[in-house]
Amino acid sequence: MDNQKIRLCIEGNRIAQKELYEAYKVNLYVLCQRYFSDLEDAKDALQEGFVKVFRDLHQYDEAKGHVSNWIKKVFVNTCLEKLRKKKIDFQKIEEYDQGIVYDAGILSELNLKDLTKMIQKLPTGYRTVFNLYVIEGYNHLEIADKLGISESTSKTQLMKAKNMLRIKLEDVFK
Amino acid sequence: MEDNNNNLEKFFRDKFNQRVEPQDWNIPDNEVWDRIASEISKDDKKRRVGILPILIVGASILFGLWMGIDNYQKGRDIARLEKELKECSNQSNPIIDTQVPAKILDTTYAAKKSTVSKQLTNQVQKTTFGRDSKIGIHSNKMYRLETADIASINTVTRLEENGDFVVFDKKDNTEIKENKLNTITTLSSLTGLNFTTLKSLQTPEPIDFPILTESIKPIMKTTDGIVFGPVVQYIHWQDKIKGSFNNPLSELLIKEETSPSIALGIAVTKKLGNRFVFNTGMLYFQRNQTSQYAINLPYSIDEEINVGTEFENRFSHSLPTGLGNINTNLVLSRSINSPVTNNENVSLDFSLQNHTKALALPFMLSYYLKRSDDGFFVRGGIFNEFIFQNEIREINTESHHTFVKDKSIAVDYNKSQVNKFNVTTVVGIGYEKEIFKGIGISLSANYGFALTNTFATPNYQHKIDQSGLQLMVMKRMK
Repeated sequence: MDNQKIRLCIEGNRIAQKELYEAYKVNLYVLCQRYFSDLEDAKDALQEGFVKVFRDLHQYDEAKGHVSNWIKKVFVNTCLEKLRKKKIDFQKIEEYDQGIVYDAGILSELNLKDLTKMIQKLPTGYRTVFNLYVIEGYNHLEIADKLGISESTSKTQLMKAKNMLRIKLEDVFK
Repeated sequence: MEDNNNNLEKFFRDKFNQRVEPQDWNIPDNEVWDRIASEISKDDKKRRVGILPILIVGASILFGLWMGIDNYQKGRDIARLEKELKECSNQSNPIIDTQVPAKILDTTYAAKKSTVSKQLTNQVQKTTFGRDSKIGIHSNKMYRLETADIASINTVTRLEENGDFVVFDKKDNTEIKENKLNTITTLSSLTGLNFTTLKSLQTPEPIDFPILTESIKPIMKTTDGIVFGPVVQYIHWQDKIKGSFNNPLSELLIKEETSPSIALGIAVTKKLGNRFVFNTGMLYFQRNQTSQYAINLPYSIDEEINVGTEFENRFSHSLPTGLGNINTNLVLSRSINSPVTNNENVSLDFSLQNHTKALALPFMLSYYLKRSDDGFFVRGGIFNEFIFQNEIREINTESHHTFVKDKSIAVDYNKSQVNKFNVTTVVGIGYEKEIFKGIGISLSANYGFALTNTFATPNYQHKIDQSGLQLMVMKRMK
């Protein structure tokens, strides 16, 4: 998506907006599905995210990075906002199971759809922290700030999420 | 353990941060885009009309404040005049014998109709409304008092060459009968006069002050001040094209028209004499020019590109509009299994809108047939137009072929090709009338001949003439 197309999108050119939508819809739909276990919620987040993108695109500063990163941030924030309305349930940590060890070769046999489904099955709190930390690359301090939780809660939620994913992976490879 | 953690994290990170191939489970329904398009259209509309209510509310508040202040000041003036009149009635004034000759007062009833010289009229006004009056009513105030009252009953006061003072009916220019002149003559002679004496001299019946004060009406027409107020104008645009556009695809352009606009703004007028008024102000308007094209394209199977579950043909054009060329990139796509013959013609109805936002600064001179700010007038001047935004939008494409699954057009447009400053010479006629204390309305019909081209090449000139109706509400400034 070049700067001219972005300018056209800002000016409200529907064709250019559709092009932007087409270019990013798949990746962003997957992103939304990672945050919501319910498909309808993911579709709503996708819709809200794109509306925000077109509304706020004039705020995008190309000096601060590629537009795709900016769009992704908008979508992550949209998902968090929707989750906040639903009240994220941060589950207490009871025990920590180290699980089994996998090497990269085994993991690569899994496709994106399966992985997305695995993430979707995590409790909301685990899933959110896992997405933010592992996939989006935020640190625990930033996550704590975004979700209004303590840094230690973020860490423990992540541990629990990974632990649950290990168990799910174990089931897959049994 | 640490390695295990890192492996898992890296695996998920890499998997989800790469480009995702479209598959059934990760392609959103078409209705998602429809909902997004619907939402952003609502936003666009809100943004477009958003500024209008603010402007209207802002202008209304300013107008209300100004009217309030003006009426308050008028009230104070009237109260002061009442006070001065009461003072008049409570003191004897020697000026009656010196500054206002009894002849003028007496002959008011016996006047005849004839031509009156301006010089004499001025002289009698000075004499009658004596600047040096001991009563303290300055000629300005008396002038207002007198003319206001006379105007309220449609009369004109003149001085005959022989020194007689006459009152005429403005409508048919006939002399007003003696028995109708009580109020007028009394008011005319108020300046510097002993009122008790005056009443006994000039009126068959005693006149009370309430009657006098009631007849004091501030009238916009009699003030040489600046008048301003909101203005709304309906403008019908007429495209005038000379020459031919040097574009090989000109034949595709089947229709082009500029739709009418509503302009809103503030008008300011300044009286320049008895019959001339200078008009200016600021107007905001939007102008839409729609261009419609009929396009036929051969859909080539040989040149189509495979994109996932679809094939695409891409076309680039430079299409002409009345306001310059636009470059289009058209993508036609079909499903892999849809039947199509090679080079099958695809007809498309394509339209786009050139949207312009502009501010106008008119400079006009109005000539009133009767007197300034009253009645019919003719008008002439220039209409300066400053375009501050110009964009292509509202692009629509219709295809008449079932095999075409999707189509999109991206438009590239050089905004600077449209002239940003245009001048139009305008002539018009109108009528103006006071409707309420110092507030008047003016309705005029105008026609404007464009002097500059909105867009031009050596072989092609595009001008936009205008015709329209203007409604203005005016308020006299103190």
